[in-house]
Amino acid sequence: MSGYALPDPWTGTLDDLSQIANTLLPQYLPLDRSGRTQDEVNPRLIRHYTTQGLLDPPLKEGRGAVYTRRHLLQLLALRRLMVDGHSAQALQPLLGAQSDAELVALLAGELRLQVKSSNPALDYLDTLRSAPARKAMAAPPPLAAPMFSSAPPAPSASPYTRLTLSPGLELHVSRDARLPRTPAEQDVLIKHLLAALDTLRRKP
Amino acid sequence: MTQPNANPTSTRPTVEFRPLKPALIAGRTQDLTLLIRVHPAPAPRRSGGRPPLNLALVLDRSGSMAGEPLEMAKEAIVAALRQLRPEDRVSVVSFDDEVRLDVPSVLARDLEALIAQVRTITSGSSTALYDGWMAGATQVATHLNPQGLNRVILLSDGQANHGLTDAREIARRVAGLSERGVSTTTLGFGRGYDENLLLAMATSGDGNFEHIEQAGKLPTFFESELQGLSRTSGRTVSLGLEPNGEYRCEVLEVLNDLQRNGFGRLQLPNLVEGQPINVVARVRLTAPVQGIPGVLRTRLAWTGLDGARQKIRMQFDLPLVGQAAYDALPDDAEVFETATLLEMAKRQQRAVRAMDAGDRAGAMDHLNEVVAMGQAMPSPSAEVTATLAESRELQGLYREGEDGLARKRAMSQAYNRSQSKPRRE
Repeated sequence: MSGYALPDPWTGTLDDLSQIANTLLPQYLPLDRSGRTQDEVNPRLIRHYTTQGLLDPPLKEGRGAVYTRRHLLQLLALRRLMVDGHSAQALQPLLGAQSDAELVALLAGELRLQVKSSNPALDYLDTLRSAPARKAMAAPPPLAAPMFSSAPPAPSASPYTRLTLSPGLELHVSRDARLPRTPAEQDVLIKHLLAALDTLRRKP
Repeated sequence: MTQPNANPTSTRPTVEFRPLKPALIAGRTQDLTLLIRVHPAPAPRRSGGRPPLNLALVLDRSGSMAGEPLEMAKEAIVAALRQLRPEDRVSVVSFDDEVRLDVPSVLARDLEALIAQVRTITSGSSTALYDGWMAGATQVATHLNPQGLNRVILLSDGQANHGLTDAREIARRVAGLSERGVSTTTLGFGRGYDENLLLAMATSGDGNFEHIEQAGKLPTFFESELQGLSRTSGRTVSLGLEPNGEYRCEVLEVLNDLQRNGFGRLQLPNLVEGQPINVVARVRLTAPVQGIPGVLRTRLAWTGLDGARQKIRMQFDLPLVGQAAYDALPDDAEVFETATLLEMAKRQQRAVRAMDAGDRAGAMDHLNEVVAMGQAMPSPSAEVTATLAESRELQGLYREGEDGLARKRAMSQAYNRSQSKPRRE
């Protein structure tokens, strides 16, 4: 991991924000994503995020807009979570509600964001499918408000299932792995998989 | 605020109050018949017309569907497919004791390929109705579109006899899914389907129920279901009646047979442009003495196409007059007719319950009463005439021992009346 530190405090223009975010972003992305230009931000994208309510509004509107360290933290966290496969729609109510310290912890991987499912219908059908018997099925719980949990769940000791995808290529899946269900999630996983394989190809 | 339909281009529904008489008698305890009519807003116009549909068409291919019924059901699905637009999604599921995903959810672009796939469906054995619904529901849910209309349309001619078969439990699960944005419509075909199950699925699924006797009519029903969807501006609609305690008002009864939600509010059908919803309530007022008493307020809530929950409150007031002035006021003929048609539907349901209890004579008494009510209407409208004809046919069916078919017809007619469904020929 490269050693660019998060500046504290920080203020700047829209262009400054875009520039420093692109400098800092790679260290917060999974290794196979770092250095990919398609993950970079630009002023237009930042303005779009602001109108979507994903970032706090700048201190001043218009051409003299001033951004602060908090905007930088929100932007980095947003890009990080989107790479993880969360939709901007699901993240919209989250980032504005977090303190700067929580955003830093999130970026450092010390905090996990519990994003409200963007597909309650599919989750519900999953609970129906896994309901063993009719009596054991309680009423579906109300959708929990999005929140941070203070620590990632303890690693489980569940064994891995090995799937052979093609000769010499195995996929190990832990019992509690979250499998992609929607086309969008599948796309993200496929991209991750191909990018991971690409790193092998580049090695001599 | 109390002017109904003041703004015809409104994007919100309006509530109209129509009392049988437009006044109350001062100082007298009295019962008031009140028609509450909900006028849905026009469906939002987009550049491409209606919002995108996300559908699963779930087809019973059990042994009993073999022959003409299955062929017509397939043609009905083909007719439905031809109405879709490229931005719509559709999947096709068929079930006997096994569920087959004939067409996984796709955008409705290559229609001819989809149609060819549907035509390959052949009949099988028993009826895994719940599993079929689950498969269709999963297809829709996987592509859940909060800005679109997400619906499972299930056609069955049989009893669920494979997999989960408990009607209450199935309905509970259907309700859970409709709360999460995927609604369910059921089409009962022929004389052998389980009307209790399919009705319960449709009412808890925030969709429609249809009783269909002739295979040749199937395409029409799919067509009208899709047209209704394209004109829908609100779903999971509820109507709360809040009588004014200060004037000791109370709601004695609601004539419509509507389910209530957890807050005791009436669950109404979807808001569909051009289809007003009529709810009739009987309200008791205890000796109002002064002013213009607010009789009750209504709270109408719905989920819009943007997925946001919305509500409007409306208050209904009536002036106080003396007995002589009250007696001189005419009845509102439309309110009288709407209330009478609902009363007829109620008695028709009583006839069904009497038959279920083995009381044939009691059932016939109820039906005779229904016919008498229709005949007593002073100037029968086309709707009254058609309803009267239906009631006489029911009498005939029971007399000929066609109890099963009579029950299906009676229940579907009562359902259509309570839901204010427009008559279709």
